[in-house]
Amino acid sequence: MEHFYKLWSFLLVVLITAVSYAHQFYGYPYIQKINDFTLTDQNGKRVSLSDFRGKYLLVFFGYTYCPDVCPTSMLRIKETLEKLGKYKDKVHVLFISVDPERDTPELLKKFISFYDPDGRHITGLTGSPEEIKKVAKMFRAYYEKVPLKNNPEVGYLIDHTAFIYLIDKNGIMRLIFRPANDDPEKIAQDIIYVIKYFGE
Amino acid sequence: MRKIVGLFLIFFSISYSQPQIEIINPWVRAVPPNAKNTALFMIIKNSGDESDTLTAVKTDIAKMVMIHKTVNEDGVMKMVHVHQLKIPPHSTVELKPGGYHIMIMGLKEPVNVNSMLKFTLIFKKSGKINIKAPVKMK
Ligand SMILES: [Cu+2]
Repeated sequence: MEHFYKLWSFLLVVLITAVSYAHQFYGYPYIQKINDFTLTDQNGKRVSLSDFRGKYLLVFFGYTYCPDVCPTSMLRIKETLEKLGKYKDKVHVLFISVDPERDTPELLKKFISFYDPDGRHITGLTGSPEEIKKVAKMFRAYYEKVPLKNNPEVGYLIDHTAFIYLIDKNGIMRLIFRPANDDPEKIAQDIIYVIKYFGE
Repeated sequence: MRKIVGLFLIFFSISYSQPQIEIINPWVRAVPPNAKNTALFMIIKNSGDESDTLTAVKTDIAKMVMIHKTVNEDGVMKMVHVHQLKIPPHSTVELKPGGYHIMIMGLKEPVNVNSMLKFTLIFKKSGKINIKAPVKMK
């Protein structure tokens, strides 16, 4: 029964969201308060979600060994940033590792700098497996190790959800982009609309 | 005259009862310098009358190469090992991000944007086809 109420309140939220915007979103409208969390960034520093208050955040869960999905999404994110024009500096990207055992701050640093030429727009985050698990759960991000047979070089890959989440400047999730919706131009237009709607 | 017709028929039967494989626009994805893995993409065109099958890919640049397919299962992105990739007659199969790809694992050195990498594709009927693929940021 509790489940039933959850579903209804969820649908209500979606409905309210849908009618209050005058823009046809490319991403999936959503409303969820993201509780503060603390992880370790690419410089080994502990940082919290609340440190980014005032910025619109694009959050992506991935791992640096990822061969196909994450490089595609990170390139799309890079292109999206380039299409934001004067709004680029209002937006920051969080790449959260779902492979904390291998993704050290040093590895993350090299990985994100490849997609962030000016070094100011992407933060890579890792932590203990428990910390990552808690954060992923809040985003309903799923990940699971898949061992590779006869391949000690790579060891394992990770099946994972590859959504890009947009969080507003007050820490509320507003949009979710599915991997199939990865047109940087359209994502950028959604972000600009949200920034104008909720204020810079 | 009969000889010429005969020769023509032999030629005809050889060239038309075979697959005709062509590799179009191969490219390797640029990845961060410390990345261990990347992928090779291309369009495989078969303009022959018979199907062919890609069974393996070889290269010196990495320790292991596999034919893979990325699939989206309820939002979870998974990679499936494909043992053989069939190319039906008169058709093209596209290897692209989020779909079929040649997965390159355990890179021996970083791949630089615009450098050309060598691969040998092995087909069941057409045999070995050597290609050079540029590294692209896309
Ligand atoms: Cu793969």
